[in-house]
Amino acid sequence: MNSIPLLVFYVVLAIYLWFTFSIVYHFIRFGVGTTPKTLGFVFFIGSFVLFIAVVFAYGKVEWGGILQQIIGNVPKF
Amino acid sequence: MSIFTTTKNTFEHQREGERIIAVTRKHWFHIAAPMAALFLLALAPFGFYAYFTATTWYKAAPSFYWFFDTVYYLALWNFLFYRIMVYVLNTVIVTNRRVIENQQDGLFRHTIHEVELANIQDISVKTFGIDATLLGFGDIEIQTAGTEKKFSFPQLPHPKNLKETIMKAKYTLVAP
Repeated sequence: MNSIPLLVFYVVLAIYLWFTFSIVYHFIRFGVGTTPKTLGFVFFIGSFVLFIAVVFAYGKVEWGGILQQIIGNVPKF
Repeated sequence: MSIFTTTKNTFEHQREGERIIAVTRKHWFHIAAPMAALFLLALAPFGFYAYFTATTWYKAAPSFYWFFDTVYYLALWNFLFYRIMVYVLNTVIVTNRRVIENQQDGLFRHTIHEVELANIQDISVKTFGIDATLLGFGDIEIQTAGTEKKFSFPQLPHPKNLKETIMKAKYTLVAP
C-alpha cells in the first residue's frame, strides 16, 4: 500500500526530468544568441528550487493515512 | 560559462564568412495572452486558499494541500518556460547571404526554411486588423525565383523596417 505513492512519485519524476532536460537542451542547442541560454539557466535554477520544495512537501505528507481515508470512502457494492 | 557570452558562430549551420544583419522573433503580442493566462493561474491558489482552509480534508491533512501547491507551481513553471522556449526559438535571421526562418512547433519539432538573397524577387508586407496596425506587426511574404515560390513569415514586429533591411542586404550582395 505504501509503495503506491512512491511508485507514482518515480514515474512523475522520470517525466519531469525528461521534460526539464528537453527544455534546457532546446534553449542551448537551438537558441540564437545568448538570450535563450540565459533563459535556459533561469528555468533550470527555478525548476531545481521548486523540485526541492516538492520533495520536502512530499516528505511531510502522511500517505498511509490519506490512502486509508480514500479507500475507506469508496462505496462497496 | 562561455555559452552565456557572444561566440563566433551565432546560429547552427552558419556558413564561413556569413554575417548576421538582423534577428527577429514574432511580436510580443503573440505570447501576451498565454503569459496573462499563466499569471492568473499562478494567482489561483491564493484565491482558493480561504476556501480550502475551511474544508474538513484540509484540517485532516494540511500537508497534502501544500504538497499539491508545490507540484502545481512546478508544473506551471515548466509550462511557462515551454511557451517561452517555443516563442524564443521561432526566429527569422537575416544574414548577408540569406534569410532563415527557424520554426519551433514544440519539443523536438523543428523546421528550417531559408531563402538565398540572390533568389529574392519581391517582398510584400501585410498588416491586417486594428491590433496589428496599432502595435506595429505584420506578415512578410518573399517571392523567389527558386522552386519554392513564396515564403511567408507571420506576425513580425516592424515588418516594413525588416523588408528594408532584407532589400538593402540583397542590393549590397548584388552590388559589385
